[in-house]
Amino acid sequence: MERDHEKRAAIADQFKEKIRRETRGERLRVYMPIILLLSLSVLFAVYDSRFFSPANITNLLYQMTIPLILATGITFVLLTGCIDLSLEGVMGLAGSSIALLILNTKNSNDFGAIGVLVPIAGCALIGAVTGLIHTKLRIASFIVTFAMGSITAGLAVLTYRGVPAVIKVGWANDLSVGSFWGVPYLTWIALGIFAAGCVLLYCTAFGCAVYAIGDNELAAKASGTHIDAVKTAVFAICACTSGIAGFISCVRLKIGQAAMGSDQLFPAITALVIGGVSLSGGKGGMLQTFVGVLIYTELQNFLTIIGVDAYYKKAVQGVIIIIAVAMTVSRSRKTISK
Amino acid sequence: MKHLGFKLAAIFVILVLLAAGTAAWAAESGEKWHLLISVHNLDSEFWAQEAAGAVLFAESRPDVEYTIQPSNGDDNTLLQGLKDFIAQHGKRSIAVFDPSSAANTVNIADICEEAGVYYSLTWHLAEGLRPEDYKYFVGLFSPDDEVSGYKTASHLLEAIGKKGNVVYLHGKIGEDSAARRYQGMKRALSECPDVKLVDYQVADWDQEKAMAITETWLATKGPIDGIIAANDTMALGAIEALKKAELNGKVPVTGTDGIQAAFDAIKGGDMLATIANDGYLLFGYAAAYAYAAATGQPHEKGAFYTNAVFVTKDNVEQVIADYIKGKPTFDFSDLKFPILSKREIK
Repeated sequence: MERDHEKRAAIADQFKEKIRRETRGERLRVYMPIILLLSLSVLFAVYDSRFFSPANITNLLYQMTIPLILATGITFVLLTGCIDLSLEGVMGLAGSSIALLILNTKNSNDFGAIGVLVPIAGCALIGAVTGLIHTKLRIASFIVTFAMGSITAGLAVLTYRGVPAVIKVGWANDLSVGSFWGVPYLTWIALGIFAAGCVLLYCTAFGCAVYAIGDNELAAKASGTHIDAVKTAVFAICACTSGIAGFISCVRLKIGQAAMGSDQLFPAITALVIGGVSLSGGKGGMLQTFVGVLIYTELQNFLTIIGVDAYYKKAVQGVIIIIAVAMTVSRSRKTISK
Repeated sequence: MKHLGFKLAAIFVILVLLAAGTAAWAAESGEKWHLLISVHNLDSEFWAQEAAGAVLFAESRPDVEYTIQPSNGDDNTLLQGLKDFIAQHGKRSIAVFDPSSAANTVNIADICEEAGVYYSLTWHLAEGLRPEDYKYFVGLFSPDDEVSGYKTASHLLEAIGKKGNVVYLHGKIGEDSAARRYQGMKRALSECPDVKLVDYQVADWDQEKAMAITETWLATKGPIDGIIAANDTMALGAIEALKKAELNGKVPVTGTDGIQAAFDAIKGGDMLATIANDGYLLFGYAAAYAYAAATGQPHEKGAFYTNAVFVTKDNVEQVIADYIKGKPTFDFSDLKFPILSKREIK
């Protein structure tokens, strides 16, 4: 009897020790993305001094703009355990519509700020519709957003019918090249949206609900969280940030076409995963997103600077991403990786 | 009873009229040729131009009706669309394709040969496929990408006095057009030993990527004397990066394709030159060849390089007038007009 008791005590001790070890590992893993960012920065700077030249730092600030805006929006979606694949289509639709509503080469429209805000609001509405379809019709988010991405990409093409509009407004140029305290205006906009994202996630009941849903939807529901409303809002936020990213891209490129959204989803999601945001929801946050975006942008920029042969660049990039994700993703709760 | 007879007679007359009308309609629609225009999608200006070119041809013939099918670059979408089209129109179908991939041209050929449908292909062709070996395969048409790459690069190298540092924006790796344009650029470069290719990067035909790469080049590669881009969209991305560094117009940029924004950039002095691949001509005549074959008119069979328009500041106004403000007009009965040279298929 006593030996049984001792055995049980020994097992309990081992279990406690295991939990302690895992917790320690978890704590370390939280800091992993930051450690990775710092070590990559040092490594890149040592390898090539041009990496930290003032001109290239400005570049990095420009190049992180769109990924940061997109990543801020999609963080909310991933935290609830959903996914938004419509981001590229929505971005293309916003950019194409904005280019046609402000002064451009294709028509005589010149709606100024309204021409920018209405399409962005429209995107938020599209996001809300996506959220409603997902929650009310109970269709998996990946398929709803995939379909919505296809619809919005199609609509984007329809807006300009083959020949995209080139924007002619003077302020677009000022906005795309101007800076304040050495930081480009566009980056300030991205930082502003990121800050708003932080406030929303950390200082409001809505933010708590997002985490609660991602962690355990049933428990969140039982405790009175209005799941459908929160999820709808989350998709609206993501589509709204995609719309803003479309606007930024339009200002940068001076042209509004559906293709501006292409290849934007993968960097945004990769940045989040590298930063430690969990695809299964409930884990991660804005800091992780920010660090992930910085790592991804630095990596892209560095590979261009050192002139990795174009034929190897994608492979090298893929290998580095896998290493980065392996170092930063938490696996403690997972029994199976899907 | 008298009334009933009258009603029956009236119904009979109506039925006869309906039957005659339907028969006449059927006979008339049987006379028509149905042209399938298969392009990637319509969001790219060039692909939209291709579709419009085939429409120009269809509208020039009263006996041709057309359907545009975007494949979105997907092999299965294209094949399913083709099968549906043939099921609907049978041997009265003719087809012109910008194939979703080179490999898929084998499947296209199989389906069209089996159905007895005359077809033209543009741009891509699977290895071993030759128009001469197939009954219904009328021709392969494409501008010569190697020549385009060579001409634009040579023009830029001439403009910088055949010395200095240049960079190259590469299209999608693995695509034939990207590879041949790169070869053409290298040929031009080999004729100028004092020019150094400082770097080349893949920007996937994408403007945003091209802009980011050029920004990084300008910040880290020292003075750059010229930027050669494999297409206009990437050239425009490079120009936006140059504008930020206040170097637009000072560093010459060339592209290929001939999109409207590139013409505007040439007109404004930000871009040096491009080659308008002339999607109107390419698809218009590809359709004309398929139609000629189907209707038994004399035509040459084989693979051809088609004419392209070299655009610089000197002729940009004229090109805008012909291609942007208006649509070019072609005499589709002159089947020799679009051909630059015969292409050897290995």
